[in-house]
Amino acid sequence: MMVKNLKYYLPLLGLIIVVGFFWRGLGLHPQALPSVLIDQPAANFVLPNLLAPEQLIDQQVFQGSWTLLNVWASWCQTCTQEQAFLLSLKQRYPHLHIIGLDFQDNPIKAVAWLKKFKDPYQLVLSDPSGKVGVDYGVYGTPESFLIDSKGIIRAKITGVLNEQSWPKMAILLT
Amino acid sequence: MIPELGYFSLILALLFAALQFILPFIGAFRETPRLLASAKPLALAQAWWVVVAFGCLEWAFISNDFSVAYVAANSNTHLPLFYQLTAIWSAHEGSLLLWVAILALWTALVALWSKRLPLEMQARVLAVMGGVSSGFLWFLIHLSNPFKRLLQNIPFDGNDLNPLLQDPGLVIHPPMLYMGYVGTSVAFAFAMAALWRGKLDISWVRWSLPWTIAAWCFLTWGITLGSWWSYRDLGWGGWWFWDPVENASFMPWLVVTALIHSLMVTEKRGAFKNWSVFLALFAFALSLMGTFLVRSGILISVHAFAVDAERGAFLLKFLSLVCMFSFVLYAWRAPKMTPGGVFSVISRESFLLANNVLLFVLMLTVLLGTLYPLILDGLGIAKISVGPPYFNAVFLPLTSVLFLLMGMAPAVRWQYMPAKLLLQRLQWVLPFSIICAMALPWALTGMFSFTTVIGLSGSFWIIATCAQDFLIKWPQRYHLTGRYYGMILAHLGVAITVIGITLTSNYSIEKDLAVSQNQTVPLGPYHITLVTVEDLQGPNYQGMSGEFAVTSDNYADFSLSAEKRLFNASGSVMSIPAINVGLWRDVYIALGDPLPGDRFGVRYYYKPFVRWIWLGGLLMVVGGLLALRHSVRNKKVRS
Repeated sequence: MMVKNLKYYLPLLGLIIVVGFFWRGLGLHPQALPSVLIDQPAANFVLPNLLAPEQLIDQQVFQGSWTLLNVWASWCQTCTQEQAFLLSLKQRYPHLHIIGLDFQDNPIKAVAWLKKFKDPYQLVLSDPSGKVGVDYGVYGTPESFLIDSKGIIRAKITGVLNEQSWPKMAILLT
Repeated sequence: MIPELGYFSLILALLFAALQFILPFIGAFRETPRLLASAKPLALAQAWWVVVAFGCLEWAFISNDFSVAYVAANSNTHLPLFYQLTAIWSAHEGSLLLWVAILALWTALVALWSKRLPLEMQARVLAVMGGVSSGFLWFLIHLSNPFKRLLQNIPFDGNDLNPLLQDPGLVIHPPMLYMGYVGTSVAFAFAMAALWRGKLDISWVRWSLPWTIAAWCFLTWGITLGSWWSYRDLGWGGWWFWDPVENASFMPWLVVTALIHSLMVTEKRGAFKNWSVFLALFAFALSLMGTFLVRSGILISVHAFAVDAERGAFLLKFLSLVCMFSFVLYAWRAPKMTPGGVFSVISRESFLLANNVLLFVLMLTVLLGTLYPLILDGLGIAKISVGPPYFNAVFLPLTSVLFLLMGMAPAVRWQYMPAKLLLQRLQWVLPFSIICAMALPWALTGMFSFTTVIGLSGSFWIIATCAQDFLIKWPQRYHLTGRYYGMILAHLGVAITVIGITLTSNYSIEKDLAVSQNQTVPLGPYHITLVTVEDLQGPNYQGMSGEFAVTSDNYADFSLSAEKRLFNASGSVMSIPAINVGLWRDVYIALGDPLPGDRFGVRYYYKPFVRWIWLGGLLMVVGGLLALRHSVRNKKVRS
């Protein structure tokens, strides 16, 4: 009799197992998908300075101080929004280097963009073919990397930098 | 003032919901008619205050009251009135209020349309629904208050509605889906009431069948609309993504589909009582689980709502409580139910049982695929995501068997049928369907794939068996019921949808390109030229619009204009694809970003038979409505 009626407890058993996983899952954060690049040295590159194309720059530029590497382009409509936030960061963190990576862009249009809006960058790297962007795993603009004074990537934010997304990086800077 | 009134209405609604749960509960134990009779007025009072709260939030949206945080986050003075009204269900708090409002609507309908129900049954059903309402109202008031005011920094203008949601598809898709989703609570309440009463007679089935069919119709229509919306709105040309949130609506659909068939057997033959009750409980458990999955952010999904661990924890506790209670009651009462009528292996009962089991197994595979990432993450093994390859791989064999049985079931008699007779009837239909399924793609395209043949065979088989059955029954057509016609239409709908899915998946042509102006690209029988790209200025957005000329040797030429919009307030970018709609094919063009060298990213899609997917959904709903009409009348006549 008992064994025969045991099957009616199966839904209950299933429920307990599933709820157990849900409970465990609540403590984990699926959104925090680790980027393979985090805690890795920033990839090597040689790129011209957008505003002085004869000057070539490589990954050594990250040595010595913390850097925010911001991937943008003049065709990127959201980047115009981010620009104001970058200017405010420049004031809040005077020691932070803010470097732009001009991704898959026409250098002439990019320079015009920087003139039209206020230039928030200390230096802009020009990557018209997008090759270096690919090495950094860039999906699209805007995207930002926080790189420490030894050239190690410490954080990445996909999408626009603003008051909501910035705290993820701010924690590492204090 | 109005938002405070709304909040106060919610508190009153919670009060009435709690009474709606407690008083009839006590009444049922003490058998006090006065307490039992209180269920109906309490339910109506609860529904009334929820409606008032809903109206107050609508008022805040229309009057641009940006001191209300939810309005500030999801509306804007430049937003058209139509979208201001519907922006209410574009984010967490408001869509939860919609959930509660729809539950209140179902409760009111049950209270008003159950005059023929014995008082103690009606009171129990409403008590169960009151319990569910109480939980959700509590959640709304404490953890998701949509009326919360901004105490400082009241914005001059709102943050605007997510542009993806500024589409007529959004206006009707979530309410329809919720109607279906929440509608499963009615079947749940009837099953719980029946278990609680301890008397599972056939009358229970007759009462709950119309509600179940109604919920199924809404669920079907909601899923169909959701699929259509994502196709025309997301700019990917996809109509189903096996996203956790889509799965969360598809799983109850599979279970409710099984439930309707099981209830019909219980009604006709008295069999499968336990199974029907279990499915009714399970369908609602899945609805609750879906709500939890969407709201907790526990899984990654495109339908990302704000993630809040506290909300997730509450919903999980509530879900556990409701399910635990119902499954314990089930385990306690189900063994005592009398088994129904006997039937042999070849009988409609066993075919329907087999189909029920298959539908249930399909649901389990979707459940496994949806929860698999969570399980692996929970065990600390890996962070992964399960994609379409898994679902497509498991669905093909399971649905093939399902369709085979689906074609046969209507041809089989109740209780018993000699195998020879069945074979006689169907022996030519199966080869006919398979040959058609092989010949048709061969004749049209000169090639065929395994999946095409399987998909088309299944569809043709269903169509052919439906037609054969209909022709056989034609002489006695005056005896055919609305339920019969409903069954035929719904089954044809499934076949039409599967034809659409099969042909779209196998014969679509998709091109992601970078083109410059006046460049012509071939796409299937067409040639597409990008003519011009112009700047665009809308009421609450700016952007660009691309003009495309589509020419063909065999068909009429036409032009399409696809847009890319930048919404001023939120800064988000959205692509508005241009679609030339046709019964036999869609031509779909989406405009992407401008690229270096004065080129533009574009997507050109040629999608044969894609409309059939939604056309089939529509047929299923019409079939469901016919069966519903019949069930409602039937209930009136018999009781």
